[in-house]
Amino acid sequence: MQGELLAVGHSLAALLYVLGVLVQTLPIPYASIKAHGPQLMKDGVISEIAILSVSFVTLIVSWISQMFSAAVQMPVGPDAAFGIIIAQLSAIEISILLLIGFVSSTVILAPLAFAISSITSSILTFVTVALIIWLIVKAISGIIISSWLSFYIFGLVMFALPFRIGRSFGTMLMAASIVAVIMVPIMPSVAVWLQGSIGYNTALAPIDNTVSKIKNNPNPLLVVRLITQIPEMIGNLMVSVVVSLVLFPFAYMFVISMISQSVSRLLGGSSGTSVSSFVLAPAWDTGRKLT
Amino acid sequence: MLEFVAFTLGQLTQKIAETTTSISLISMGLFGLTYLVGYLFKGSPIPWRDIKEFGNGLTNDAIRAALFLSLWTSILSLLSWVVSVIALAG
Repeated sequence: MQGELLAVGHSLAALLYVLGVLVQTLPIPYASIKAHGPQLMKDGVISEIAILSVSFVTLIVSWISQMFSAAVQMPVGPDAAFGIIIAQLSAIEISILLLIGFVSSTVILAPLAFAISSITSSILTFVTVALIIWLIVKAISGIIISSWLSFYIFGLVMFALPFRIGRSFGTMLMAASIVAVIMVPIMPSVAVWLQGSIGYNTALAPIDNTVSKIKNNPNPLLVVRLITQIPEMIGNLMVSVVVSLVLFPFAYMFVISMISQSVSRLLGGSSGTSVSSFVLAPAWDTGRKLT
Repeated sequence: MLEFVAFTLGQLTQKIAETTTSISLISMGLFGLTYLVGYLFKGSPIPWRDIKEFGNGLTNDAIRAALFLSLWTSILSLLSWVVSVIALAG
């Protein structure tokens, strides 16, 4: 399939070049029409070079992916990280739903239930949207790893269409496939790493520090300080969960979108459609309908 | 389904290649025509300089286009030769 697509792209590049030659040889006095000749020839040559460098792009993508994995010390693999994330988000969602359900079940606590549901409704929406985003990321990750090269080559074919009709879409597909295959598979691992890092530095490190002080100097005041630190630790742990699992996917998708648009512009197209709109927009719509 | 898509893409490639060959042939024909028309304007016994310059431009364009067409064909032939040599060596 990829070979056939490459053959189509190669033929289109040759067609572009020959069309350019044809336009240049036309015996007409219109300079504006004749100016299309060199432009078409240049596009044909660029398309041909892009088609011939597919193996090089594959090599570069593989190298950058390995470099990212080595640079960011991943605590767990993508599959395990995804399991951890889904478990945590589901636990948060179920806890909120159970709390509201439990309080709503009694008539006396009905005003309290109303207050809790109005406070937690936005949290519930965010958690549901985050859950949907992670599920979309999981689905996309599997598709992208197996068939990113097909998307890239299809983008090349679009890029090689005459008179630049598919140039913007082609470069968008090429850029999105390259950026996504590098960045999407490591997304769950980065989220878990971020959660661990924020959680340890803001919640566990101060407790650890106080405990080691108590061990060296058994002062009752330090024990009181430790007790006061526990609610703060729980709050900071919740913050680390919310930042890394609920807010992080939005930020990460935004970064992927920005990088894709930049690469798309670098490849010669316009900024095109935002890649994050394929993930964030459906997730928002579904999340709002569900909550 | 995939076989059908592959077959269609193969057919499409063949059609595009045929079109490319036809356009190359037309370009070669046009090259001769444009070259001659250019010389016709250049050598015509008329006192208008613009027309003579237009003729000169046509001749130049025709020569340049023929050169680029030959270059493209030569490079593709060279590439296919290199690939065949590598394939034979492998």
